[in-house]
Amino acid sequence: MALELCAAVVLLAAWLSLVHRRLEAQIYLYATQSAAIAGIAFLVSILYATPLLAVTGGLIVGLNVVVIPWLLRRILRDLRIPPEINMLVSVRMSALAGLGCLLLSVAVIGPLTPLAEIPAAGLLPIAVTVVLIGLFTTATRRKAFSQVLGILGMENGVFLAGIALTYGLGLLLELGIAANLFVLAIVSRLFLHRMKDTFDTVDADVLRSLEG
Amino acid sequence: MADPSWALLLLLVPAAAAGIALIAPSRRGANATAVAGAAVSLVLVFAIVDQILTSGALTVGPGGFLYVDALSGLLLLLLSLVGLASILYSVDYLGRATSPHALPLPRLRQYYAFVLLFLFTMFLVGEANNLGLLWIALEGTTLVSALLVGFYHTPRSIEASWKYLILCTVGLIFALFGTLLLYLADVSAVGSSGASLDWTALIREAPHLDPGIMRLALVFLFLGYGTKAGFAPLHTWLPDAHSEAPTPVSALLSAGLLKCAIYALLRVDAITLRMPNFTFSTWLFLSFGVVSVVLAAFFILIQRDLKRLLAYHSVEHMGIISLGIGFGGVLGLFGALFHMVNHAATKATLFLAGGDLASAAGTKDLEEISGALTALPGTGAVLFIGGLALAGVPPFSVFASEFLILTAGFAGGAWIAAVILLVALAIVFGGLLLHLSRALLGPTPTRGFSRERGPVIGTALGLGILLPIVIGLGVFLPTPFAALLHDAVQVVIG
Repeated sequence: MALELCAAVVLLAAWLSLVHRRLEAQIYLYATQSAAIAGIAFLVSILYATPLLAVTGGLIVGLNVVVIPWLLRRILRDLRIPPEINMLVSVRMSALAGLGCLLLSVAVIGPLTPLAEIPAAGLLPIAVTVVLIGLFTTATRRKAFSQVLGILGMENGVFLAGIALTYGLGLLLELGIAANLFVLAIVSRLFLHRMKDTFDTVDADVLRSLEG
Repeated sequence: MADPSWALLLLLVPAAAAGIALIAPSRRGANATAVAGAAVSLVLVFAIVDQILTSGALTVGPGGFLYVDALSGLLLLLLSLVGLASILYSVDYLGRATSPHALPLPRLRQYYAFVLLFLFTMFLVGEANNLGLLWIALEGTTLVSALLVGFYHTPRSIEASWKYLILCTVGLIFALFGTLLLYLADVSAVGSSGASLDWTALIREAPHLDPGIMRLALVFLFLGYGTKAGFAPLHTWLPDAHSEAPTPVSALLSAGLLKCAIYALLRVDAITLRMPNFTFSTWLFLSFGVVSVVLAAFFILIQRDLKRLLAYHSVEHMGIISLGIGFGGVLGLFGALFHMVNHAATKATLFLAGGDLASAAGTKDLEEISGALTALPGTGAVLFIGGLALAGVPPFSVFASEFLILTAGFAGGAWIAAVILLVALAIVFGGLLLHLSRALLGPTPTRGFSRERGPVIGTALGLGILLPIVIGLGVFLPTPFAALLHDAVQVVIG
């Protein structure tokens, strides 16, 4: 039951991030989603006696719930990014696209037969939905900052898939993936600063000079 | 018994050199550290390849996380050759105080540290046994090289690096998902207790992997690693990144990084080739190959910017390699792997000499460059040779591997793809000769070339590494290299 509740929170946070207009709220949604994924990791670790997954949960809490949201809020503040998002498509269309992502994932993942061997595999369609919603966000948002949020959302979806399918990939790999995520956040911050210094805005719209 | 410690040292050396470069007290120290790091790496690779050829594959590290076989050896060889050539060129181009492009010392330290870390992540790609680790290494290459693409902090380089970072990261997230699906496929074969992401395990269990899951995994892996490999239509980041990066980095991106992504796909292909009646990966390689050569041929014809022209040639050649893998068999794979090395050396040569030309001419616009062969005889001659080689003229090495790939296509009955490749090659040949003949042979320019040339010793040494591959391998295949290629083909097809 608790597992289903966490899964519902993950899905809802992804969907709300599509319809919410304030960037700060989206950071909190990301943190909430990450916390729910960490919760899933802890629960699966207890239910299926896979202690290593508790370490994964701890990594997610440390990085995705605390450090990255903190870093994102600093970027918002330091670069004085306007609080509202710019979208290429309307909120209503985004909400519908979110539903489309869910249907697509169920249609693609549902027929995979060997999933029956994996108890937590029911989480997989949700994970794929989160990945697709992240992709949609990255593709349709004008602010470079929102594109980073989209990518972080996609990564969360893949983490959920990893927990559901593998019960943890082993400490070394998870540390490696976490380190990559951390460096990605740092590098993005660096580029956002450079973009602000150079173009005086972080709208990805200004990035149009290279074509052909 | 082979000694695996050299494979570990190969990771340690560039990482340590990066650290030392960051605290180098002088320009000379920074230059020397970078050159030493790359040169020692090359020597280590020679030692590793020798081990592989005499005693077979090496398993290294805790839990067999690293595994080095002939296919790894080939990639490591290519990376270390191009790495050393690029760093030698960097010494002339950015390193010496007398160079017109000289970086201030703190920036030079950063530059070398990033380049050496970039080499480290690429070596890790070649040595990873666990496919999760392979993914981590490839994502690592994106993060480091994005910093290098945006190194000049100009508006255009910031744009190029941002696009590169976002597109390749999105692609690689798909690839990570595909990797997880590989794990799921292994669960379908051996149950959840024994499943693993080790390539050596997946190869063993390949005949029992679930084809439905493998198909889905391949879709995600091709989307992800295909983006990174520059397959059209996923290539949109590539011309921007290659043209805006500092010249030696463009060479590393085109010659090294793209091959790392193809290498990842080859590892997966090796698994699927051992599955009964499973041809989906062949079909994907052929499709991406055809689309890449056709689209690239079109863009090559209309291109005016020298570095973007070379970048679109990379898309074309990644398509050719992909077709070679798709045509398959010993001949197709031998041609594809051989072409990886030939394209790496030829493209690096052209980026380095092209960088020289653009910097002397003060522009990258091919319409404005003319008569370079008379004004800059050395650079012009190298560009001329490299251009002919890239266009697939005999007796250069690119011709040899393209010929093998085409033969494999016709012999294997893949007529349509082979004919499309042949037509695209003809168009590209014409396009390249058109562009280069004007720039090199046209009337001597009125505006003239800059006489302010920096030192050229490093450049000469770098080209001295690459040119023998561009020219020599077309007519003569040294026995150890032929053996390495042959063993690498066996790694893929078993």
